Amino acid sequence: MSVKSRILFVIIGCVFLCALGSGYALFHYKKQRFLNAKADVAEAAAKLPASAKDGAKPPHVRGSSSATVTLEEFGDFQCPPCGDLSGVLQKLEQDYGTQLRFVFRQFPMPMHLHAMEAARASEAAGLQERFWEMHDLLYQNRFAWPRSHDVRADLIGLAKSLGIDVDRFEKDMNSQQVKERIAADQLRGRSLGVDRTPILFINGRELPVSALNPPGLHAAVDEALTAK
Amino acid sequence: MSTTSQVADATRARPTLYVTAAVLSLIGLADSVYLTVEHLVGENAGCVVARGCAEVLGSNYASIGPLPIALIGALAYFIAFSLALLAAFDYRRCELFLLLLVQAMFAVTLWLLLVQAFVLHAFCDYCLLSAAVTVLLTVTALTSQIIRSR
Repeated sequence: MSVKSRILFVIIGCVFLCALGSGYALFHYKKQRFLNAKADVAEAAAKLPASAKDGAKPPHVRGSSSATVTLEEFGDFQCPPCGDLSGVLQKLEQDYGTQLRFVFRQFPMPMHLHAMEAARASEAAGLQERFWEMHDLLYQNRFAWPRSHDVRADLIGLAKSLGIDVDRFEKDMNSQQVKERIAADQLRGRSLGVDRTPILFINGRELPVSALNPPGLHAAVDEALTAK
Repeated sequence: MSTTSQVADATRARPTLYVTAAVLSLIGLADSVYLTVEHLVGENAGCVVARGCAEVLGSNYASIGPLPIALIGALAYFIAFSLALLAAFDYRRCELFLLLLVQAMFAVTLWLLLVQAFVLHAFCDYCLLSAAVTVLLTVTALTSQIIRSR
């Protein structure tokens, strides 16, 4: 074998090892981070009082009160997978109609700079009976408002487009009531071991991340329906 | 410029095209390795530009049995990289294999794009990046073959 051939095969070998090594390192890092976060959250959840499980009252519910299946989501308006999932969940609600009830819980992640402000905006809209409209609008416009140089002005603009009383909305965004509702949902999340978003529970059972897609969710809802 | 010097210029361009193909394959390889890891960890990669990562990456089309499609893609990109590199250094037989491989990759990419557009009605960033890389790879390999056949 010539020197040129040897060099080429060494390069090819190096690329193979790099691809394999970086893939393994990334896999190991992600798995470890997931396990550590899970352990930390479980430890913290064990120290919380039993009342922490209640969450904000009343919760934001969409769907029939007599539905057999309750799907509870812990979401963050600035998290990309939550945004991707919002369309999937809307389709799921349409597919199952009165058999499915959807509950949304606030779980803004600290790493998302504007998630808390968006959560407050949705709660402030909720105080004017427009929570779900604001929820849908925040996800539909998720590529616009987080990138704005004035996020608050964008959120107010969204509220205005829904015909919300803007003066009251602005006041409510900073109100204690709104902050307490978000804190209560976060506390419920922590008591249930929620460490990231989106996390979904079907009739109180946490779904694995691998099920957060149309076939996985349909299978989980069907299973919950047949279990009843 | 005379016809002889034009042919000489075109011949000199061929190694550059294959080096470009090798670099493109590396981009595709990195994309596929990332998606394979996300699939194996069980996480859903979030989209930034397109809006359907959950729908596409979580669909039945994302794997063949237990095998993630991204892993097959990673393997194809690695082989494409190897063939392009060898072709850049005058291993003539590799040029033909590369052309056949990228044509197969192009066909699969086209099928996956149709699935995203008409079955899933959603696109994912990483899949679109991979599609763009495959299209460029095909153009590069075809151009090189056209130059050779002149």
